[in-house]
Amino acid sequence: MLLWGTFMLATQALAQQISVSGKVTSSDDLMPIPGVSVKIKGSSTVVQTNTNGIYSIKATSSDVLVFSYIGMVAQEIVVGSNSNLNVVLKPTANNLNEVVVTALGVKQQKRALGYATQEIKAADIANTNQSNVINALKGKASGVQITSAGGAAGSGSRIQIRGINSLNPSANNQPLFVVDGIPISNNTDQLNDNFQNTNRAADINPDDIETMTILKGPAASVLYGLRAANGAVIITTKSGKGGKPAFSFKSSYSFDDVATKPAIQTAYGNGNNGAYVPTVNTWGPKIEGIPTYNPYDLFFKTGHQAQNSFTFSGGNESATYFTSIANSTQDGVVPNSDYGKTSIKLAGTLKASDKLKFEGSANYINSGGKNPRTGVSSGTIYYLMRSTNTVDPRDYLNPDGSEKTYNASIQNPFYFTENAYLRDNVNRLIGNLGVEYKATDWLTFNYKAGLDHYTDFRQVYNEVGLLISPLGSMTEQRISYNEINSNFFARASKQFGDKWNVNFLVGHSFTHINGTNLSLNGTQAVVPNVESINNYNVYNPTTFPTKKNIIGVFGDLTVSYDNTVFMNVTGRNDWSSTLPPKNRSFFYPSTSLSYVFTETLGLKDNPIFNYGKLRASYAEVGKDADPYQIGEYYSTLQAFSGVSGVRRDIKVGSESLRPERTKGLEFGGEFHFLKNRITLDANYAILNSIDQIVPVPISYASGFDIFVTNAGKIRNNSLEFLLTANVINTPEFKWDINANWSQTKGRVLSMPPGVSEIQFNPETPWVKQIIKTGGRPGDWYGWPYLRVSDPSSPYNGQLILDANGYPSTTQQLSDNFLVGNAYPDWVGGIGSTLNYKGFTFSFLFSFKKGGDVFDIPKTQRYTTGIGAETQMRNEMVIFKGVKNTGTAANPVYVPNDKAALIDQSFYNNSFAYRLSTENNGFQDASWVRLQNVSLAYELPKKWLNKTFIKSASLSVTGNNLWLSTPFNGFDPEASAYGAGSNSVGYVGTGIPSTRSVYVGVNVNF
Amino acid sequence: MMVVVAASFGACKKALDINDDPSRLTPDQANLSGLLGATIQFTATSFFNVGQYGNSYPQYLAGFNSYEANIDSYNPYGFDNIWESAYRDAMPNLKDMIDRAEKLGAPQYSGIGKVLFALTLMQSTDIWGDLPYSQAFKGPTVPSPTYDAQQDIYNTSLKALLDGAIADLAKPVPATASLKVGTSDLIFGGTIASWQKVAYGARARYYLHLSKKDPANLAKAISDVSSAIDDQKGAVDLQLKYSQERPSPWYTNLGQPAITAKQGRPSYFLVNLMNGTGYFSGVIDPRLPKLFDNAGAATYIGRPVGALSTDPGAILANSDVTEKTFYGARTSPVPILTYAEMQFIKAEALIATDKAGAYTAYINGIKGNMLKLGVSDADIATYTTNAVVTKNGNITITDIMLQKYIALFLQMETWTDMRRYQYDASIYPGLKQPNKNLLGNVYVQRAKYPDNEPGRNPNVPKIPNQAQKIWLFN
Repeated sequence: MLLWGTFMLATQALAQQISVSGKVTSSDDLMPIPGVSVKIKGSSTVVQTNTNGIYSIKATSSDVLVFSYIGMVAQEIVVGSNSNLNVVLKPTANNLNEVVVTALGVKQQKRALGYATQEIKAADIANTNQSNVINALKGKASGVQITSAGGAAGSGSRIQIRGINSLNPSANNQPLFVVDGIPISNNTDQLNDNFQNTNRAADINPDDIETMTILKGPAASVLYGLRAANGAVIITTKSGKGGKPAFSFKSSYSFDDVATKPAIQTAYGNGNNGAYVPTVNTWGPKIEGIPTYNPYDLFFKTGHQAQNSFTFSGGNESATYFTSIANSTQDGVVPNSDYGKTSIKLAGTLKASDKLKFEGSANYINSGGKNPRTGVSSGTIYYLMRSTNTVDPRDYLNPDGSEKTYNASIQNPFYFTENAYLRDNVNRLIGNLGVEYKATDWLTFNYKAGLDHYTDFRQVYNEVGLLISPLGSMTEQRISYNEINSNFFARASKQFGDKWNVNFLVGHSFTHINGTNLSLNGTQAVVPNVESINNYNVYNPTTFPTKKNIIGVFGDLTVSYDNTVFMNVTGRNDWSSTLPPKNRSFFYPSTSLSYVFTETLGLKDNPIFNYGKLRASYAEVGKDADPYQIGEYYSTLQAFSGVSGVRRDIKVGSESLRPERTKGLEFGGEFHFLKNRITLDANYAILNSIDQIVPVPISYASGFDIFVTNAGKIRNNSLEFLLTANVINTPEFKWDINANWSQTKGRVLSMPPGVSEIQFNPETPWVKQIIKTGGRPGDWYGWPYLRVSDPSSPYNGQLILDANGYPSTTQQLSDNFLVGNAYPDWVGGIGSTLNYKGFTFSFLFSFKKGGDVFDIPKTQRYTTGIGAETQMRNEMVIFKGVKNTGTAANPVYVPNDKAALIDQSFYNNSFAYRLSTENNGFQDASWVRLQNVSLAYELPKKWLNKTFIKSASLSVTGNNLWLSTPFNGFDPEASAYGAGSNSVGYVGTGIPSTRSVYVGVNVNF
Repeated sequence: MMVVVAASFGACKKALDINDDPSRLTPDQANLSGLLGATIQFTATSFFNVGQYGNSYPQYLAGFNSYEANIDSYNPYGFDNIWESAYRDAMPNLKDMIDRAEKLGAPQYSGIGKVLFALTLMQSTDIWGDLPYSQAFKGPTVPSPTYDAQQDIYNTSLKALLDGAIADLAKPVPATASLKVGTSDLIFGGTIASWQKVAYGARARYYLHLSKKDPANLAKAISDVSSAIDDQKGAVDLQLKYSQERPSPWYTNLGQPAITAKQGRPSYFLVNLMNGTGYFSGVIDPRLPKLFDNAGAATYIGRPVGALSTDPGAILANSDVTEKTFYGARTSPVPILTYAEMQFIKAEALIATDKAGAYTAYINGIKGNMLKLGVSDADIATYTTNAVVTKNGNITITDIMLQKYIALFLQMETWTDMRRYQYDASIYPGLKQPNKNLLGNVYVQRAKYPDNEPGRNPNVPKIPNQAQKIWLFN
């Protein structure tokens, strides 16, 4: 199955042998195909085409030449009298012999895989114009959830495959990113909740990517070891091809804006209780004859992204090269925000001999920008949400340059944005070098080492006089990250008889990660308006170094029969430095089976149902801890009057920490109908995460805050479908439809002993996510309004109003009630591509059903009286519901007839500490959105005949153009706690998500 | 290939033994002197934290801006910040220091540790009632300690800590330098005699708290006061003085000029006691300009508690805690136990039996507080001879408790006093419930348990609301 062509010398010289040579090209683009195997049927003589697609072989006139290449339909041609045989290979009709890149960069036939994978092609990524590759996957990949941290310039995105499998609120639940066989960092070095820091995979230039394969379960990723326990995203970058040098140039320019904004009321102006006062509130008198302002409309502007990339590639028989230079700049939708990225990449291969091959690449990236501070209880969006409607927010400066405000407890959003921000600047080098030695026709050795090194220099500045920093403050932070990976493996591949094929792989890997994080915080500025860390009176330096090593050995055996049944067994042992010596070695196995039953049934050429495959797998992955988690430490405190103190750290780790385990069982199938015109892939996976390493929050009265130990079990059940249909396929007109649907249900099966619940982000006091046994990750708890809960009562489900006629909540202070779940019931996407002559039109809708989110700033719009919901005021209302005329123990309900006044006080009280979720911004965030729509026009070849241009296209693309949701607020997709956090469902505090329209041009020459 | 593998295994152990954090200290590297410096800061922070919002309960401060009619209106409040600084920071490190000191033979360290522990625990139980203690601070082997009844905390635990502190501090000072208390004693710089006075003072406070349970404790309190903090100018007061670099938390919280939206303002009740309109009728208290800043207005007016800004009187308030005031200044102290309190304990304990003795202590307490605040001798003399204040020697418990109320401004000990007397209108004349009272029409009796705790500890007692009394006041 692993098609490794071999060079063999002709063993017998026959009299009639002639030399046959020719060129093999692809029917797709008429480009030469290097590496095509040309075999004399029935003999062991095989040659390969060179980088220009040229082959030469000695054969007799009666020989049959078999031309085969992965992903192409093999052709058999009788030599006859031809000494020159040019062959055009056609791609296999539809994915029948599709090849995917799996672990360690190994290409495998998709039919052989016993687990679910999904491949995203370069064109699908380029189509979206997304500068962050993760965003390009939105709505496309089944079982994959992408959450962007919002519309800030360079904002990070989070990717999660099949639900969270950790009880740890800060655990990394994201898949491992692997570029050309070597893992790279996708860390989001989250500064704090005030910024939407970039995830590091965003550094990758999307135009360098050839394919992205998502390995969804643990079986898929066992060969990368513990770091791939959450799946893996395998990126293969473009490489040079033999022949003439090829150039390509791509450029796009965008218009970004904030389309979805909460509604405001403009009936009442600034003031309190109906009277004008220059307060933070908009509870003032009826607006008559004075202008009103919508702060949200006035604050956001049109942002722009300009992306340019240039590639240059080529090569000859023994060497290929690929270079790219890309630059993107972004001007954000809020003032004072920008982001930029420059990537330079060089990659090459060198064939030193028939047996020895080298490859290497180096990618330098500089990225970073500037973004204003946001947050839960202060920040740009917080202040914007509180702005009133009768004051022009654009008029915010006094003649002396100081801030003009109408009330001391609020800050003007423009002024704040210009005076509280983060700058960051990342310099990164990703490189690798590999060598492959083909010892015999069945045995290959491969070694590859890679480096990922970046530094991130950050400055957080808060001007003197801001509410958050009356005396001014600044932090300078220097992060450095170093990852070195070394992978060695030997692979044997041998055919036994006609039908049996055995592949065996053993390997060794070493991973070294070390990081430093040095930060200097200065407070109490000497002089205002000086953005220098030298300008402060009091300093507090901190450093957080990390270091870890992982050593692994692994083996992988695949046996296949007749290209029909494939069985695979793997095993890996890891040694991690982060676990106690007695527990740091751990072994984990996997096995999978794939059966193409249509082969057995002889349905291969059946016009209705021509391909059916069933697959099953079981896999385990172990996972280590973060560095320095074990035992007790003490830290020194900042000096106080010349005396520094020492304290015991509030986090303690178990001395007998064990590796955690993820066990996955997966069943699936792939079915092709109508000669591959329709394909369906279905998958069901059960993932159990046990013995998790959890920072268990323990009572402060234990003397600690956090105990790091093995505890708890989560099970995730995932169901995924992928459907593609090739509705029309003529040379003139093509129409494809693809759809995906997935559902993941998590369940907490057990909790750490002595711990009844773990709260996610409890600093948001109104509603909380709590994990407890029997619950689901993402469960929301809060205080709903009291309702009749007595199925026998005619009033069942109705509100219980209090003596004053208002809705009421429970009085038990420590109670919490389950009120919803942050994870969607299901998500899906439907896309379509139409080709007509040179035009390509494509669109993609994404769907999310369910998923309750907590809109944090809604409380600001409510209590300050700016939100459209508060326009209904100064009225007596009889709430629909019942009142209790009996006792608390023996209630007697009668319909409510007590009128209650709806006024400022009502809206304020409804938001008093931890009251009902109905009012606190807790909403269903189901949506349908037009994720992507694109129209491209490929210039006719005849126009370009006389020019040096080979092909050229123009495109217009829209991302996130249309959104339909019951949610009132900004686009509910943007997560409040950034790409690095597991807390989903908190929204509304960051720079909101944008819609974008791009115009682009793409030229190849 | 074998060579590569063998070499890897050879380097294996070395490559894997790298899991010690170079940026932190091991338990062996931590020492007594470092722990003392830290625990003194944590204790002072706890005594600020308890009052930061808690000061609404004894009605020292009325909520303002985003805090208006909030905690001062009895919106459920769990004192989460003192739960953190006391239970997570101060007490575990104090216990660590006491354990190490007892093992190493450094009785002064353990004595100081016990007195700070006792004061912090007493403050905590006065807020919450039942609390973890006997099963607490045992590390992850007891992740969810049970709650001891407040009765047991008072009768057994606090008693043992305070008696132990007095005994330890009386022991001979060891010869070894590392066992002697030195410069990391941020309060007294290693003067053990001062700590002894503090220890007696802490026990006097303790006996006073229990005096309703058993009047015999009054005599014990009087006896302890005689060995307690005795410097009228406050030189032996237990308080942490903050610095330019590390400003007082009250400065950061209320005092600094950059704070334009203060969360609290001095209350109507408090200011009236001092501006001549309240109980001390017609007497202008010379401490007014020391404690409050009215931006040069002719009079000082406080803010009603639990009031919306639209409520009558709210807009008239003109007094604030600013950097120009004693507690709002950058380098001001956070007091924990003072000379004035000692004298008022004595006065209260004697009032029923020895009116003259009580009167002397009463006047001493007033003078002590005025000296501490920097009131001039002439002003002190005028005030302490005004018949409205002196009642010609014929003072009542009302005078004592109201003067103590003024002297202990911003200290939550006052809330314990007020609850000992159950907000009695004859002791605190003029005191009113918050304008907006979310508990209905009763005064607040306790804290809610902190939000942080129920999810982590199933043993948290369930209390219906903050109107339920704790054992000490039953």
